[in-house]
Amino acid sequence: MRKLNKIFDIIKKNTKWIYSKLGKDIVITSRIRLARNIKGYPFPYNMTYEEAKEIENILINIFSKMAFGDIFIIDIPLLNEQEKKILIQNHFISKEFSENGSYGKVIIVPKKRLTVMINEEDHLRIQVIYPGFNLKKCWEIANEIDDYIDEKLEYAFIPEFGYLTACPTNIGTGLKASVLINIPGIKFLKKEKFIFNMIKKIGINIRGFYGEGSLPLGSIYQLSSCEATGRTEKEIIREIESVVKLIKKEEMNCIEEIKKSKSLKNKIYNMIKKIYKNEKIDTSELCSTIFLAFNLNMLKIDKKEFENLFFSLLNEYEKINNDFNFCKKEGKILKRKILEMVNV
Amino acid sequence: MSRCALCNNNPYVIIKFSNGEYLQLCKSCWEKIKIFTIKNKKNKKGKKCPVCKYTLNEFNEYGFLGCDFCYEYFYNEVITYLKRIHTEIFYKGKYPKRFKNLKNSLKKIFGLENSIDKIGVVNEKIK
Repeated sequence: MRKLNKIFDIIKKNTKWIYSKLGKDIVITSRIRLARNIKGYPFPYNMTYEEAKEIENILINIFSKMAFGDIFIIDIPLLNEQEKKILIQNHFISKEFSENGSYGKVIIVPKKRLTVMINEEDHLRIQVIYPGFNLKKCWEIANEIDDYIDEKLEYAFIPEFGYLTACPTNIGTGLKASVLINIPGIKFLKKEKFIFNMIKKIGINIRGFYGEGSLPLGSIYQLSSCEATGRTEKEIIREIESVVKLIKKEEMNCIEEIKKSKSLKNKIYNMIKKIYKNEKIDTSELCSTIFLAFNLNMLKIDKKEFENLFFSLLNEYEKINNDFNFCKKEGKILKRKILEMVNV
Repeated sequence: MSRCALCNNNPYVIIKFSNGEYLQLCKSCWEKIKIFTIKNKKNKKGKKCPVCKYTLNEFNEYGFLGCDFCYEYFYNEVITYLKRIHTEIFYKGKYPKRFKNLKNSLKKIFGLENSIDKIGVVNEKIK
């Protein structure tokens, strides 16, 4: 089954595409997820191995017949740690899903920028990710796929509750709209707590880089809609879009404020001093400062180098609470780049 | 001679809407509309869902339900649980295809908006 190599090549290209707005836009990626279950079957939490396989076969059969170009089916229990890490970094699967030892599949449809998780918390989770701020396009595709599947099987649905999910807190539209945003300006001026409290009141959640239960990557956070009844899908999306616009404005204001002050330069010099002396630097603080320096054109690296830097920081994500290791290869490159900034 | 309001066949049941209107339906249309009716108010603590054998105790412990039928079987408990999280339970989103015609018919007859009012059964099985 080393046709896996082919799909992982595709995934790597997709990773570049997904993160193509890095450094250009405050919104790095947009994502729409729809949770669905099939009528008449137990939810994944409560099913036998045979029932899980039956669901997998039904769904794989449906997706195989779609005229959307190549599809790739990945068996989660058969992946090695490195392969799982790549899927997680692409936001294709959650860490919890990757730890499933007995069943669970991911279907990837590259042409539609679509990933489908089978038997995660629900039978079916449809997911579309686009770079930058483009929830409308993600919704258009997810909705199209949803309608297609709706013709082939019966979804679990009651008009009073909407689409049914394993966890009652997710019933209704089954829709989660989220964006990854990079707000180094807001973070530098320590305004994030105030802003996050404000948007929580509007009903938008703030999460870490990988969603619930994860930490941010420096100044990169996930904003997501929460399921609340009484709204249509379009209203949910409009709501998160207006919050994103608010935050964009605030970030730009913060950047203007920072440009006028000397505090950023001082902070970078202090960071450089620490590196010279081989002192420890918190990875999260390092990330935020680098992102900010790049946005302000203080870091003399081109976009590609910035991307590589980003990915090496992402690879260190697990150690986000630890101090960055400047002795490893990526650390050495980063160290050199930062020291080159000394003429700023 | 009265007929089914949706398809003109022989009536089987009279139902009453919460806005006071009455409607006669045939057996087949009644089967489709049954999902809108007020659920059985009996307490089912300790009983198992007939489809998946999940129990209320498990729901209280894990916060998950066992299958889609659990939502109907443990309807009252689910409503109580949901009211703690949402102030109003009021679905306004999209409908699967198989429900769309039904939704449109109800909308046509009673001018119902996105919310579906609870329906009371007055007289099942017309003699």
